[in-house]
Amino acid sequence: MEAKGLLKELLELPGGDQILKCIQCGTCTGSCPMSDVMDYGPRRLFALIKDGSIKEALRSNTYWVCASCYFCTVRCPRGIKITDVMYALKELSVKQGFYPAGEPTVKMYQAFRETVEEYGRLSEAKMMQKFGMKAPLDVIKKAPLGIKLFFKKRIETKVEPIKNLDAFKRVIQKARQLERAS
Amino acid sequence: MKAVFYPGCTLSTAAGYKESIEQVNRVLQVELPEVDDWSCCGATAYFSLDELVALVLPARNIAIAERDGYDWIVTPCNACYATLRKAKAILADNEDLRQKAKQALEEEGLSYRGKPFIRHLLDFYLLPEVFEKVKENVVKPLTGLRVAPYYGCQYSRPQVGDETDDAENPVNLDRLLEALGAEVVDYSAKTACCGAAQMVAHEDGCLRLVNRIVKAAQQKGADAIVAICPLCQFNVETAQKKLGYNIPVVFFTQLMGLAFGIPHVNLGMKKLLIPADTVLAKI
Ligand code: SF4
Ligand code: SF4
Repeated sequence: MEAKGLLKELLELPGGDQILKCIQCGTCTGSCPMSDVMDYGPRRLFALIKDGSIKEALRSNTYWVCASCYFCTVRCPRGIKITDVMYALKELSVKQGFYPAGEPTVKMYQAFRETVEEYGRLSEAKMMQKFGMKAPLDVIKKAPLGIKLFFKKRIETKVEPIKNLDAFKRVIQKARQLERAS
Repeated sequence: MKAVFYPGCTLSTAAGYKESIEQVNRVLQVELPEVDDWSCCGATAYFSLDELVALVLPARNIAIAERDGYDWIVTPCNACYATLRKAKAILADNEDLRQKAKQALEEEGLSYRGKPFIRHLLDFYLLPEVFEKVKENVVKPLTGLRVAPYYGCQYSRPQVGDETDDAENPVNLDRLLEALGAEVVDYSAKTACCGAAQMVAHEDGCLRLVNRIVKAAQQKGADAIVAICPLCQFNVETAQKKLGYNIPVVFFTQLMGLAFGIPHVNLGMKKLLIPADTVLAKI
């Protein structure tokens, strides 16, 4: 999809049009705990999008690395729900296949989703298993401590699916159908 | 007020959170049954992937609670708390999404109205009638124990109109800890971010975040950091091993239990990765 079409889609996503209000003050980036891991801070990301470089924005890791701390959102002088814009960008990225190369968060979220849709609940152990199968090896090797400890001490060995799993799956299926139809 | 408990997926693996909540509720004689057949709220992952499913997941739990006649949903997890509140606010605001969410939930015979209050467990204990009982039951005040209250992000943010505390300088946990007799230290990182789920994918960046939190607490001479969320506790505790700190990170309900005179083993404190011996020695 061309930049124009992508921008149009972003503006139509919930909260997406809010970026138009941005005055480039930099409060968000100054407040962002993840900014040093990001390719660009939120301010620069919005500047790129407004300038028509949305593809470059979507190829950055910025919106995937966002930890949803909502600091930017409560501080933005223009009242932009920046965290929600980050969510809108993630949705767009998944829909259009514009991932930043090698960004593991995408795979983590997918592992989360698969686990929940299989059991109705999240089991961290199952999720890590799925993530381990998707993620590049170095990610698994690099973050061993927390995860190993996790397996050692607090792993839940048995995953109990919810009782009404079939109905739960129908609800999700229906929601997806309705989302696609709109 | 009829309250129901939404534990969330991470409670069962949290170090002693569940045990201590049960013990504390027993002492306070409060009934908090679980939401029947509750399911995952979707947390941040779903808002990132599918908007409508992200709303339907929390809505399912809210709908079950209202079907069973509850008007309060109480949760011990910051992420669940923020997700449930946010979904409720969006669904109240957006007719189109609400109709669609309702239609999806009909597949399970549920009808969503979106009435119940969503409250963090911390705020439940601060309800005037419950807080009275909390104070009455303090038999072993935590005098001399210096604690750093750690709120994390999603207790006081985002603000969707029903918040109970200030976005950047919350005080509710301070109030509770003071009522237990502890000495609350004021430090700069009480609402700083621990990196949440990004600890899995971006550990280096998140270690720096935890470093800031623990360093600030240590500089103020805190004996313990007090958490109100399973994921916050996990990150702040486990990351310390890599960072070379050794400050216990306990759940607020464990401190309530200690102040109520409950033996620490019954509060699951042996499950803590950083032993709380220094804390126990002080009280
Ligand atoms: S704080 Fe708001 S107005 Fe300022 S740069 Fe960030 S998004 Fe734009
Ligand atoms: S919500 Fe995301 S973008 Fe905003 S300050 Fe937090 S990590 Fe940064």
